[in-house]
Amino acid sequence: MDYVIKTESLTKKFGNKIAVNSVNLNILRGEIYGFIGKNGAGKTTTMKMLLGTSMPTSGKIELFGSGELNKQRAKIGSLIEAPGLYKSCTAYENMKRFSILFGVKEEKIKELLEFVGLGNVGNKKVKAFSLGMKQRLGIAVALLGEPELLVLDEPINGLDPAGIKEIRDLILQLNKEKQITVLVSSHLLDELSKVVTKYGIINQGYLVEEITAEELNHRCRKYLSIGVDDAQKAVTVIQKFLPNVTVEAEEGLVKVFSELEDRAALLSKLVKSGLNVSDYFYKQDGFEDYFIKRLGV
Amino acid sequence: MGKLFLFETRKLIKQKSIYICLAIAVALIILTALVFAMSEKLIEGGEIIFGTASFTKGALTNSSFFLLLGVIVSLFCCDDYSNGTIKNIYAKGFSHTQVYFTKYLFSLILSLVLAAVCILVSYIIGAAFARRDDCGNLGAVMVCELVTVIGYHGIFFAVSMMLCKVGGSLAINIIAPIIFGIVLSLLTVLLQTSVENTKIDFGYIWFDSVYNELGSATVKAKEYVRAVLMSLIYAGGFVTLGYFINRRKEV
Repeated sequence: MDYVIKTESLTKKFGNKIAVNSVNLNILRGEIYGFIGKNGAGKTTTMKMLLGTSMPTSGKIELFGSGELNKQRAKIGSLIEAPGLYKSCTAYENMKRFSILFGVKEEKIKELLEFVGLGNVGNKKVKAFSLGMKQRLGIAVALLGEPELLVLDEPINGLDPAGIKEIRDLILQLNKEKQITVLVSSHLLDELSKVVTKYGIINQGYLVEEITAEELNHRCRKYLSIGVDDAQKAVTVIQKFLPNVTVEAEEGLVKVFSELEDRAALLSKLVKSGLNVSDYFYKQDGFEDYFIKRLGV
Repeated sequence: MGKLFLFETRKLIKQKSIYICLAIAVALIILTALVFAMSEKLIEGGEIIFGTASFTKGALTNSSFFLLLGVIVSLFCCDDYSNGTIKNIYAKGFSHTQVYFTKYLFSLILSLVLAAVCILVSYIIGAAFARRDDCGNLGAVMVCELVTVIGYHGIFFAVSMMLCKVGGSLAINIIAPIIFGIVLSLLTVLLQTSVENTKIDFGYIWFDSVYNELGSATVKAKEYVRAVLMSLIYAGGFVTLGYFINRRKEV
């Protein structure tokens, strides 16, 4: 399998505090990996270790299947915490400096600035930029050199709704058109759920779970919620009427995990069986409920 | 590594503080020349106060060069840390060692160029306006003074790269040399008052004494050796210490 990031027991200690505890990340090429966790869970620390700005206490990192990390980091574009920008310089000068460092042609600069919506900032210095503009410029810097992997730490911080949508669309576009793998962290589940293909749930330094979006959807799939006075009797009636559906019963509640062609017919059957039906509607457990359960909050 | 060199070159050229500090240094040289010239006119007896060679020898002290050097080195070295751009550099695979020694090299070249400019400006002003005087081997003295710049630079560079903060580096680089010189003088006085017939001078280990000797009419050969050795020891020691502390810093 073509892993762009693979870690083995990656650990970081600050004194007695374990910020990252034996994390085993597995990110395949082409994935949009969403790193989810509360503030202080260890997301940024993990990313910093991957990028070499923080030294691991122990554990192993492989990038693009290689242990030669500095060499492989040339293929990575990143935006960690606040964007690193020369505040007394213009957007163009910032890009120019980094294009020299990353070995990128000058022609790419204007193209990238246009791409992130900073084509018309002229001679405005970065210190006069809004937070959103700085984020955009940080992303433009991360895209210099056509990276194969983008590591973005809370990239939508400080952005307005239009900006958030642009970054989301940008991530999807880069992944789809340029096959760029993306590792993106956030504590905003709703935004992440719109782009990621795989989640890594981290809590108090532990990687609690890695789960694909497909699996998560399955676990949080839609069901027909039926409130009844006798759940067991209702299950019997449903299984007799619709033998191929998946049914679960809880006290006073029956869940039907199948799309029904004729819901009204089932309702009629239940009522005719003598059951009192109090609720009858489609429901889906939110991702938040799932993550909250996994994070143990 | 070549990309890192080009990157630092661009930053160097675009750093306005360098040009401002150079302008201040040149202005101070000109002002000092004016003061010397006017003082000479006031003194009877024909003593040479404003002489070409002596004025050139004093180029680095007349321009408060070392104070300005502390400022320039702090600003240049800490710029990436204060802006957070150092993350971008490390995250692209450049090692701490590569970054450290590239910054060392470029800040050293900058320091030597600025020192050379100050010396040249002093010589030109001295040659144009001052009286001819004899200060021994002027060329050797000026080379020696340039070598001491390596020593001073090493200290300022190491402090900047250990702290990685502009404010703290500026404060230490400006104040510490002054305080260190005063402390050494104090220790010397205390020792000489408490121990009879002692000739130990703690100031011997600091650059101020080197400049005093180099500024005299005749400079002994051992003073040249002392100047070079001191520069290399201070530069080597501080730069090495700075390297081991800097590489453990997380950004």
